[in-house]
Amino acid sequence: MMSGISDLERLILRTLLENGASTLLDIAVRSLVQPDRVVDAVSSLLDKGLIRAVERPRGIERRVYLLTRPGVEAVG
Amino acid sequence: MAGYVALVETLIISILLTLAELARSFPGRSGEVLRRKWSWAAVALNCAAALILAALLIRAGLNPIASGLISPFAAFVLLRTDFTLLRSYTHIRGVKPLSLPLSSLWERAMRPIYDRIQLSSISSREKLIRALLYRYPLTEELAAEARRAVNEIQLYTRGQIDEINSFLDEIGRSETMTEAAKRVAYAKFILIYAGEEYARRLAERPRVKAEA
Repeated sequence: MMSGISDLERLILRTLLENGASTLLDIAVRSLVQPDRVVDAVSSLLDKGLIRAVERPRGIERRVYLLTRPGVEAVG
Repeated sequence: MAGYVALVETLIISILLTLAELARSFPGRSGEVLRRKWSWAAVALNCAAALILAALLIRAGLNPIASGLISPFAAFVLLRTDFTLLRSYTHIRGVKPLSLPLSSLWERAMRPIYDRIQLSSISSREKLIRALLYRYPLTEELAAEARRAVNEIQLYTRGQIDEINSFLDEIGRSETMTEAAKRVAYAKFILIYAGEEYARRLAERPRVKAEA
């Protein structure tokens, strides 16, 4: 599983594991990675089913990302 | 007499377990961590939970000495959080969960609860972010405060400060991010790296009116 994950994707998974549910900017700030790069990696992780997105009814950033069970297993 | 022995062994084992976990969770930074009130709050919490469990076990008829041995470990497992929540309220980075198989099982079992708590924490922290955005209407002001925060905290090494400054530069130079997104990123940066108290002080700092 881990072989198909880039270093950036692994960093994002690790950030979500350590910090729990996070918005895109939370992930970018916590991992110190430019948000544009995070967007692409997050899309890829969504496609792989390692993370999932939850829409909040209100808030500055509506979309929040969480690890899925395969995501926890991939990085844990 | 057996009760006193149980009390002492419960306290000693609880304190040692918590200190060991702190040392593992913050490698190479134990001294710094132990100077913080919340680490002692974690020790106190573990001790209190262990004592309550010991009292319950003794009351249930278990041998006091055995209760004193079992309860610290049971309380430790019950209270384990990998410091994920504590970390949300501090600006200490580099936290690593305890690398025991138990930790992984615990992590998996607790993940939905962590996520739920974190979701509500995101909402409550947004109030502070909005306060910062309101207090600093100019992007440049917020960026300057983010840089000042890094230098004022004095917790980071030179290398970490360079990495952080490079990240802030990238945000400032980004052509795809909107001004609003940049401002939120700076505000989140202050909140995450400088901590809630620091962010609150900034948000509450009175504005100096510029002379026309």
